Amino acid sequence: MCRTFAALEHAYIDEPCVLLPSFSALVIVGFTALEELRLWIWHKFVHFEQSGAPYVNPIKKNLSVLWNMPELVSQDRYLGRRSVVDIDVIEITRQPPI
Amino acid sequence: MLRIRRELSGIEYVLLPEDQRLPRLLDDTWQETWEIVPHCAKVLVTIPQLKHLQGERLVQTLRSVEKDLVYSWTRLNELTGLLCESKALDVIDIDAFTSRHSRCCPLLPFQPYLFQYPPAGLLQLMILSMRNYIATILYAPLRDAGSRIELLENNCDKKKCRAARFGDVSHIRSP
Repeated sequence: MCRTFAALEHAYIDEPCVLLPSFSALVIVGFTALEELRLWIWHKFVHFEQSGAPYVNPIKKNLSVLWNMPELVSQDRYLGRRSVVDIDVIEITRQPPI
Repeated sequence: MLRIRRELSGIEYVLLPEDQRLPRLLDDTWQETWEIVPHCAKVLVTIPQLKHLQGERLVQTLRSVEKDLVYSWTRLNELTGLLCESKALDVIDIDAFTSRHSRCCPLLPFQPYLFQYPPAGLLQLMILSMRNYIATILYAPLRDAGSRIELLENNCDKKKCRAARFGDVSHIRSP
């Protein structure tokens, strides 16, 4: 499921709203995923939050308890906050003026 | 409605231009997927009742929901088979992959499935999540109540070590 989601995320990077229906699938992934995938999944939730999906915060809190990773909630504001769009904007603005 | 769609698809698929067959197939398969939801919902609403049932009534209730679960599982497998057969789930072979999220997210610990037709990936993700939901959320309480479904046993065994629900949850304190 993660491999499929990663591909979709790549394919629809310019249309993140297309991914909104797959939010419930990602929640299921969160409850069953291998330990090494958890941080990656957490970042996907952060992206969902940025794109305006509701109810992300309670799910993140529950997952952090379930995974026994309370540090994720405390460090949340540092994780994945720079969206792809933000980075592109930063890079464009860094270019010297013509 | 589904029956009509099935009949129409048998007639219309061959008449459709090549580039419209896959979108039509996906549309039909989405409808077939929604048809499974009421069966899963029936199992979900039955689960809380199980702890209040005993003896013959428990056995009968379990048999009833087992049928729904087996139907849902089998149907999802059939739909996946159908998608594979029609090459909707074909992926692009890649040697190296650079994620467009490499600067904001952790590195991918795997190669993604880059679908030749990305909308098929959305459907595949939904089918996989429904399978996961059946195996870990719906089947587990039935199993605890004494149910055994051969089809789901292998899957459940693989999943239970991963799912925190069945794994080490000792760190979660009860309120």
